Amino acid sequence: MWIYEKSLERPVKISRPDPAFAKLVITQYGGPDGELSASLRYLNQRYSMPTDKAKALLTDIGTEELAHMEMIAALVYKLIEGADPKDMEAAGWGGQYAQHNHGLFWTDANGVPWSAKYIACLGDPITDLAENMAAEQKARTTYEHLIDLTDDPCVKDTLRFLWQREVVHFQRFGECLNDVQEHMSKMNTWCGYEMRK
Amino acid sequence: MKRNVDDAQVEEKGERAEEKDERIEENDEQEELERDNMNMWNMNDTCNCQKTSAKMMLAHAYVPWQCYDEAFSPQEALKKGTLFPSLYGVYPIPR
Ligand SMILES: [Fe+2]
Repeated sequence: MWIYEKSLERPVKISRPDPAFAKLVITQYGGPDGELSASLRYLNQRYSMPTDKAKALLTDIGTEELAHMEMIAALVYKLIEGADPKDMEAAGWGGQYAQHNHGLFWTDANGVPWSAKYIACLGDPITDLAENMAAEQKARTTYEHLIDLTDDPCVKDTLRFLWQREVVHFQRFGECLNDVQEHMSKMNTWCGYEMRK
Repeated sequence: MKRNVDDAQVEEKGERAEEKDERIEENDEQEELERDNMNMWNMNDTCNCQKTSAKMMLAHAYVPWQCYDEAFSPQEALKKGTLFPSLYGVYPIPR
């Protein structure tokens, strides 16, 4: 169950509309290393984690990633606010306007729609936590690329916050991996079940 | 080791700052000071939360445990994206 807070995790501001950058930053909405992927990856993997602490961490981070998806959505929406069809076309986003007008859709920066292929769940806690640590690094790097691609200091500020959260998440998943590996070596358990000898 | 890593980051930051305006440079300098004062790698001997995993095994990955010794103010934490000085600046901050 979730409780919805009627505010963003952190306010999103922009200096001026910029549909061309909206087209790029949409990848953190619906791209392979974006916030939807992150959220669903963690919220789905928690069932096969061997400890309550690991399940709780995946729930917490998966929930925060949903809040990040909301921040990216607000950012994209503001960046295209007031843009007319010609502005969208000039920004290389005529296709977006044709299909979605000012609505949002989960795609990467090249218009490729979101796919469940972006996320994995092998059911092995070590494998899944290693995937999550890689995912956090990929998200961190994507934010660095996006920060390189905008001159707007307000947009950079928002993206830098989200970038730092990925660094924190990497640390937390790493600590979780330490725990889970220790737990599994002590308890002789595998995915919560007794290991067959 | 900590010293070398800090120096390398200071150098890199220095190069980057040349392209930015003065205000950003000031911020950078302030952050260098903050980073100098903190224990980025949890190498501090007095840290008692350095519980290394009981036994480290080959072909397994481990991340150093974080020391919860210092915190930013809530306002600063919301600005920076972390409550913890020890997690801020461990990767070069993108400008
Ligand atoms: Fe994350």
